[in-house]
Amino acid sequence: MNADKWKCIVTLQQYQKKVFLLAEEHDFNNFKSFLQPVLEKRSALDHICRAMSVEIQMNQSDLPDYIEKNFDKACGHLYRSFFDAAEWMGIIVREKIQNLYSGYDNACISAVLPEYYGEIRPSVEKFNSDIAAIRNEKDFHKSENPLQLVEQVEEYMKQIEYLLGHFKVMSRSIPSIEEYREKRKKEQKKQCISNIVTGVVIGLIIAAAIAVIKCVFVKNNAP
Amino acid sequence: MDENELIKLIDEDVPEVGSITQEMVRCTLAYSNQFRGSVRASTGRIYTDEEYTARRDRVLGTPLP
Repeated sequence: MNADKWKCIVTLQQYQKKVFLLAEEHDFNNFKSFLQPVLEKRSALDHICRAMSVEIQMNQSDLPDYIEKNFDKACGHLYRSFFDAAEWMGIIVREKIQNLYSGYDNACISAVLPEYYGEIRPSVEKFNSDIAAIRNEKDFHKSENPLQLVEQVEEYMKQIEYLLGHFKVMSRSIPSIEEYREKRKKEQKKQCISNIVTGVVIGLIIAAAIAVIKCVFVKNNAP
Repeated sequence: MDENELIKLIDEDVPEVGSITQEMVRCTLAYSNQFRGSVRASTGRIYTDEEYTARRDRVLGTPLP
């Protein structure tokens, strides 16, 4: 195997490791781990050993593309492992956002973080659905060119980092949302009192006017 | 085991683990003193397939605020 191919394997492994560690770090649900990505890596290791056994002439194969084939399969398993971990990460981020913003209404969120509805929420939705679509593709790891797998993994790694970055911003926005909500509550209370006072005043004026009209009417009709 | 036997094994597929069940977690915990792997796995802190799927369906099925 040449250096480029090793580079693909090492890159995929490193991205997988990164997203897996991030997911373990961010999952506070009883601090549980998800084994599926680890099982995929076990299969990848098996294919790497097969390819290497022929490469170092420890084993012989009649198949001319034995090394290539096993290398591609190893890449495929690492790729699948990455997306298993990425799906887990996507679920964690989504759940965190749900918990973080569950008590606040749309007006509060959009007033404090205007990019939430225009940018952040659509990217979370897109990320979740893209990952699900990739994992549902039966032959998704059988790409002809492993470099394409690396490019795709890099793209999704960027998206994970983007989502985590935005999650930090969202966490920091909570005090401002609380402040906005309190301010709005006060304003609503003020508005409510103002409405009551206006109503009472109008009522009194109408009552007074009716009383005056009644007095005038009674006076005029007096025998 | 001689080298030839090892070489023969190289093309054998690793056995499928299958679904991760509560029973597997229970067995892992029972033999955790012999386990030298991940601390989370040895303390039974792993998602079973059922738990993971339930969580995924619940989270993805709940709309974002």
